Amino acid sequence: MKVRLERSGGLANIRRTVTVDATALAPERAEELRRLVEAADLATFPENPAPHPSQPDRFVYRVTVEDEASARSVSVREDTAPEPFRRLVDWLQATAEG
Amino acid sequence: MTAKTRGRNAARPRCFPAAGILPPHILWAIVENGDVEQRARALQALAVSERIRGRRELLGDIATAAAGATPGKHRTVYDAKHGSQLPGAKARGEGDPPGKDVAVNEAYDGAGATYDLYHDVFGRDSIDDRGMPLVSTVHYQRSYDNAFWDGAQMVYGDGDGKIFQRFTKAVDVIGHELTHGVTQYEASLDYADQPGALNESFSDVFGSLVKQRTLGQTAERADWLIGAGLFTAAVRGAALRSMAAPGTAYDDPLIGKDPQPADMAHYVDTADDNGGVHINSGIPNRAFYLAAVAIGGFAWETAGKVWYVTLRDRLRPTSDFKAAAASTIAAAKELFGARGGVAKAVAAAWKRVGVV
Repeated sequence: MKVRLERSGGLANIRRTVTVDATALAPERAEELRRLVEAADLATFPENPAPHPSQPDRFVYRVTVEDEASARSVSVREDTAPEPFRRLVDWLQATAEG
Repeated sequence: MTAKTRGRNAARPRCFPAAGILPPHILWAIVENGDVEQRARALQALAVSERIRGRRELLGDIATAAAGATPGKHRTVYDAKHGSQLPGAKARGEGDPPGKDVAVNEAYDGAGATYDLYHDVFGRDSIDDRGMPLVSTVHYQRSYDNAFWDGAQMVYGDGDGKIFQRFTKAVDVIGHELTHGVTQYEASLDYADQPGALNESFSDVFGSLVKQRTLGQTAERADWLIGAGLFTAAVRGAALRSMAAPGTAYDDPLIGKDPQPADMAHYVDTADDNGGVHINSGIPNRAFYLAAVAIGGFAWETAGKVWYVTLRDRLRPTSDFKAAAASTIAAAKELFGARGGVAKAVAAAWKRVGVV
C-alpha cells in the first residue's frame, strides 16, 4: 500500500507532496498506517471539496491510497477535516520528515 | 457607507440576537470558546458595545471614560502554544507594552498598521467599519506553513523552518489576511475563479499598501512583493508573489516556479486552488501596480483610494475582472475627475494586462 499526501492552497499556494510506501516501513509502522487509513474512512469524502468564501487561504489536503487492487483519492479542506483524517495527515507529514 | 451597500452582503455575519443583553465578559467567553460564526457575532456585539461606550464618552460620561472606553482600535493577540484551539491564551491586549515574543509583537504591530491604513486613509473603522476588535493568534499548530483569516480572526503559523519562517514576519501578509475580513464585509467576493482571484488580489493590494505606508515608500520605491522575507535562505526566491512582475517571485528546485500570469493571454484555467485564485490574482495585481506607478507618489493616496471605494461600494460576490476594471475606472473618475490623470492611468493599466 502506498499513501500520498498532497498539500495545496494556503496563502502561498505552494504544493508539497509526500509519499509513504507501507512495504518500506517496519511491520509495526505499516500496521499503524493501515489503522490510520482505515480510521480516516476515506470513502466518505468527495474527490474535490467545495470552496467556502469566508475561509480563504486554507490548505487543501489530497490523500491518495493505492494498493494492488484499487486506488482512492480524496480532497479535504483543512478546516473541515475530521480528527481521524487530521491524524493521518499529521502522521504522514511526520513520517516523511523522518 | 450606505445601508444599501451593507444590506447586499449575504456573507456578513447576522446580528447577534442578544447583542445588547450579553455583558462583555460573556461575549469574550464566546470569543474564547465559540465556533467561527459564534465568535464573529460575539466580536461584532463587542464592537457595538464599544461604540455605545464611545458615544457616552462624547456626552461627557467621565465614569465610562475612566472605565477604559477606547477609540476604535482594539487589538488582542493570543498564543495557541502550538495547538489548534482558537484563540488560545491571551498574550497582549491593546495598549500593553511589547513582550518578549517577537511573533506576538509583530501580529500586534501589523494589525495596528493595517487598522491605521484603513482608518487614517480610507476612514474605515476596522474590518466591519464598526470597530470590530482585531483578534490574532500566533504559534498555531507546529511547523504550520500558513496564515489565514478564519471569518472572525487572523491565525499565524511559525513556518517549518525549512521553507518558511514565521508568517508574522511580513507586514503585508498581515494586511492581506485582515483585508480578507474587509472583503467579507463588503464586496464579499466568491472564493473561486475570477471573483476569487479578485478577492486574493484585493488582499495583496492592501497588504502591499500597509507595507508601503509603514515604510513611507512611493510607488516607484516600493518592492511590490508579497511575503518578502518569509522564505528561509534555503529557498531560491524573493517572495510569494510579485505584483510588478507576476511569475518571477521564486524559482526553486523544491517548491517549483511562481505560476502567476502577468496578463490575460496567460490566464491559467485550472480546477486547483479554487480555480487558481492565488494564480490569476497576478493579473489584477499587476493592473494595480501599473496604475499606481503611472500616477506616482504614495499609492495609498490615489490608486489605493480608487480600489478601496471599488471594493466597498461597487463589486458584488460574482464580479469578474472586467467588472473590476469598469468599476475602478468609474470610481477613479468619481474621486479624482481629470485630476492627475488617475482615471486615465487606471484604464491604461487594465488595458496593458488585457482585461479591457
